Amino acid sequence: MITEDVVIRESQGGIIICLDSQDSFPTLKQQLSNKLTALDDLLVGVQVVLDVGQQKLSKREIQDIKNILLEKGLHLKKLISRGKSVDLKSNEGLGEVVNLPPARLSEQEIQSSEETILIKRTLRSGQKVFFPGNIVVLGDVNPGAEVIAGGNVLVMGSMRGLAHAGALGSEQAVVVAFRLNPTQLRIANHITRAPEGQSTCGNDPEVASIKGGKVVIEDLKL
Amino acid sequence: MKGKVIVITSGKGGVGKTTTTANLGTALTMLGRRVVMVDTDIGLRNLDVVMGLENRIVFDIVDVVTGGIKLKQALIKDKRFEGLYLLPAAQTKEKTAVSPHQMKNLCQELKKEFDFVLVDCPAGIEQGFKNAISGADEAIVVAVPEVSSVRDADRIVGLLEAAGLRKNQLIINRIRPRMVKRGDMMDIEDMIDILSVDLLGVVPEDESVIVSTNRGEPAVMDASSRAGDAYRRIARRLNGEEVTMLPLDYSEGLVNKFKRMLKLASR
Repeated sequence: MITEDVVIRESQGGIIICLDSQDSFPTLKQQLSNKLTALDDLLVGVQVVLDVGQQKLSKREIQDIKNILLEKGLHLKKLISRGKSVDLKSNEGLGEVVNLPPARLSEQEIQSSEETILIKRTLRSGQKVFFPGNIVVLGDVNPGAEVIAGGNVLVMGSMRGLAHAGALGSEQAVVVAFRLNPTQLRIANHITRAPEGQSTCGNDPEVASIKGGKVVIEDLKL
Repeated sequence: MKGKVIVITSGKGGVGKTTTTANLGTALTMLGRRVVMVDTDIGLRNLDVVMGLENRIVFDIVDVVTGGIKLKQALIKDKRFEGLYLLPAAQTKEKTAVSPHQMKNLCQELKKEFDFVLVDCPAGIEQGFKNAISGADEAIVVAVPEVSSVRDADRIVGLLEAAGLRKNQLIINRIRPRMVKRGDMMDIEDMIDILSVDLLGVVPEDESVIVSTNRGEPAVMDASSRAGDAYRRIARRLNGEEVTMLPLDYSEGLVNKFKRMLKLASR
């Protein structure tokens, strides 16, 4: 069996990165860097729980990892180590450090929270935002741009690109936009597109949600 | 029988690679062949827009080569023609997301299923270009009658030959017969003389191409389009027929002009 040394898992409210390896630290660092680069800017702003397993890491090494994360726009929220492999005293200023008995990390260890991020710009073609909570865009979403949220998507402008609400499975999620005219609209595992021909998008805010197993678009009434 | 992989390339941007791919793909399907168009312009994809299939994209070429998505799941069936498929590029990734080796395997796979695999190459000669040509059996070089375009096309032919592609054919796009006649535009002979590759076809400048591109309907579907006619002829040549060149008759003739006016009026 092939085991990966760096495993990244999505979880509610953030991601867990597990560094579970017998490899030397430089190799591990390189692998982490590669893996995050491959993920692109998909995770910018996301909080990270780092699980270093039973490795013995010095303060310097942890700072190195933190720098790699920061480069990719990630914030280290919590550090988990198994069997006291990280010395608590020497790690002041590195954020929350937790020593756990050597066991697998359960998803519940990351607090579930409906967090929201605000994007104060127009998303253009090729730009992609992913966030496990809600996403609010103060601007437009142009064709070719993607907004993918674990929760709801709100666009204070024109939604012309791809919107995916409830990307982690929530069928209660909605997409709201001042002008809802998406190329493609997804909620949970439903995928829809506009009918062929002229767009029938009105001038009023609309909301897309799942009703009776179908994606329905209605005027937004508050 | 195995199909052919043809890469459509130019070096220079904006000369009509994507338009050519869309039109040849559609025209070949109209001739009854099974065609797949592969957009390799990762990060700046357009072929889906030109084909009017943008809103059907769920998976793309990067998902296929790296994400374990089956080819069948990513192929988009054209909404008008049976036997025409599109494999879209990713918009949020970079060219390096695909390697030439992966592209080669992909083309091998597609060749088994289709008569023609048309690969739409990005502008430039970097990684995107290397990816696009890596699985190709033949190449179509698109050039417009401008010195800069011919210069770039020449560079491209050189690179294609270096990569072991022997069958490289030229499409001269957006030629303006009147300007050529006046001597204000490079003529076809000059271009062939410099590039010394076989001429596959000449496509006249035609405003209807812009209209059809914006509508997401290739010009070959419009029977009255001159560029569409040129592309249909090129497709028949690719299909192995002997077809005469579209006459670049500079004077249109009164009768034809009248016919065209009537057609325009009735539309």
